[in-house]
Amino acid sequence: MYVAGIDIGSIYSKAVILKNNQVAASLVKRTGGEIRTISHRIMDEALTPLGIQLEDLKSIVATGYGRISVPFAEKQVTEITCFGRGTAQLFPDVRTVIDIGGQDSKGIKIDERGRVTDFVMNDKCAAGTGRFLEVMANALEVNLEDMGPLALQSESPEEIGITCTVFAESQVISLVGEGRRKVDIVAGIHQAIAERIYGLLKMLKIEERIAITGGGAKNIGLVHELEKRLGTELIVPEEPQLIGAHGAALMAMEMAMHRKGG
Amino acid sequence: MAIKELLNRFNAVVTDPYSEARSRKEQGQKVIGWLPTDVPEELIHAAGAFPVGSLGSCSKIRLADTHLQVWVCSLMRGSLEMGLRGDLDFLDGLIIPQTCDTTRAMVGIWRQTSLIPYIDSFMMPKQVKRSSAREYLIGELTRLKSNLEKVTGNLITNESLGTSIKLFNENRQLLRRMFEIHADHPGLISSREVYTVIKAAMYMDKVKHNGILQDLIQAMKQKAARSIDKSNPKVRLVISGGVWEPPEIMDLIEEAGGVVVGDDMLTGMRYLSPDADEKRDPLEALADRQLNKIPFAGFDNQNYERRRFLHNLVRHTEAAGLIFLHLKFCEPENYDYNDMREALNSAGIPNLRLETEVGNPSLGQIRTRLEAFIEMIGGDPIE
Ligand code: SF4
Repeated sequence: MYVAGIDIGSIYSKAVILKNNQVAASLVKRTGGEIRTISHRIMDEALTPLGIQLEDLKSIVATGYGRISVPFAEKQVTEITCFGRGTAQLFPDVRTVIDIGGQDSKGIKIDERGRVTDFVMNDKCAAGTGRFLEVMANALEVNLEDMGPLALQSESPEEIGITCTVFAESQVISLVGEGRRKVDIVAGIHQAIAERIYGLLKMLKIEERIAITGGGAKNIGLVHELEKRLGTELIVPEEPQLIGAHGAALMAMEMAMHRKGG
Repeated sequence: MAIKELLNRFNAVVTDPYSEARSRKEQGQKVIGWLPTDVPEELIHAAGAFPVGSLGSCSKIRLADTHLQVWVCSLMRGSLEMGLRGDLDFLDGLIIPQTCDTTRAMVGIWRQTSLIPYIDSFMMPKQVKRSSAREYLIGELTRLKSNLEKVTGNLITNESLGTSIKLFNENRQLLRRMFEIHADHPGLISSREVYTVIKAAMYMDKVKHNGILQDLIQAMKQKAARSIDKSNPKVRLVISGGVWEPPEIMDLIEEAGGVVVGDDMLTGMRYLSPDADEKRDPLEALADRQLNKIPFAGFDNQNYERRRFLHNLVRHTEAAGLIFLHLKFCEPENYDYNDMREALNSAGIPNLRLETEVGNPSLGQIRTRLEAFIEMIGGDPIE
């Protein structure tokens, strides 16, 4: 039996196809253009190698900020619930999930079954999110992927105030103008983001173990800074961006089973 | 009349809030406005004037920004914008209650920028349980009373104030009755409709409001008796904070699978309770009503009453969780939040804080939080 989870994020869209609880296919694509179109395209791409079609899926759950616009989804579930499910499946002993996505970052507490027991989410502002890193990478003319490794090279990071993306950007530009070392600025940016996320997490009763998911988990500099503050090693999934879609697929599987069982 | 039609009448008022006030003015009656919250409307009414609330529900801010820093809440910003735009020019007076630092500073700005001839600052004791509070408040009410007498040219007698208190008590009782029926039978009318009826009371003639409200209660009772299916799959929620703005937030709560069955909002329960004692000296009764209101961040005391209040409210309404609707930059609420959250957490009550702005209906992220919260407390979304 095939089911699917689809996670339409602000920057990336992801899909996971499960066959009897095993991942049969998965895909990450940039969200661009209309969500309807991207939903179809990502599904086609994931399903074609398996030799099946949309109609062959027993259930589809959509998540992510674009979840309401996925035309073929049977149910919409928030990414918070899905991240809980997905993480628990891969790492049953995780109790806290940090998710750093494009537009928002979240802290999610889960129980042993992956059910959410509490969560916090950043405010509307993009500071402390993937979007913030992107803006800074642009301002510094550094590839986004190089930001994390670069941060690790610094020995005396710059102080960057991060109340607001726009302010921080002009601060970064003036630091560049003053001739400060790029690695130190980059390291300062990572410290500032980590500080912001840590402040958010402190609103939860953080319990170990802690996993980090979403695009931000791929940034080694950020992971490192967060580990320093949390005083513990973070679990980084192999495919941190897929956890939400995976969780959605697990819920789709449950739905399909539920129906079968009557 | 059918429920829908009755609700439409309240809706029409909220959509065009000042038509009644304007027509009163045209007929020669004085109109006195008030900002949220806790201005004793009875005094205005007893002076023969028409009391009308200004809830700042105005979205495009152009003029107010000249006078205000960024950290002024959207409620006060919206009200001032309406004042500067001339939307409130029909007012003969405006009473600004001092709930926080912002409202305190707003009085001066209003006085300097507005054409409204009489602007009063109503100062309530913040520590409502201090022994000096009552005496002070009676003095302040006496001052307000004589100012209103001067502005309107009418004496406020014990008799006229008593009559006004009776009318306003009746309105509060009816509103509470409607709310009870809603909480017992969620779904008869929507959460937004319930609160729209309450909001309409702030703009309408109370006699008129009472009349339609009586019919609504009747219609709700009949509908409740007819409906066989008592089960409601919606997740019962309490909301806490200042104002339920933007109004779309109520729709979002219901769309996410929730229903509001209790609150401590300025534009909710805090407006409806308690009654003023009709057997006492009317000014004393008004003072006691103010001091015995449900706790709010602007007027609390050191006994942590609000913590207990919210805890009990959740239990008593059988709510599954509580949502804080905090206006951005509302300092009293924001300072108290941590304390409230701790209290609810230690009582095992799931809670969520949403930051809102009057007149800003961009609610995408709020939707996600609300849905996730309801998924969390409402049991498994699959089953
Ligand atoms: S109490 Fe809060 S919402 Fe009310 S005026 Fe003050 S800051 Fe604004």
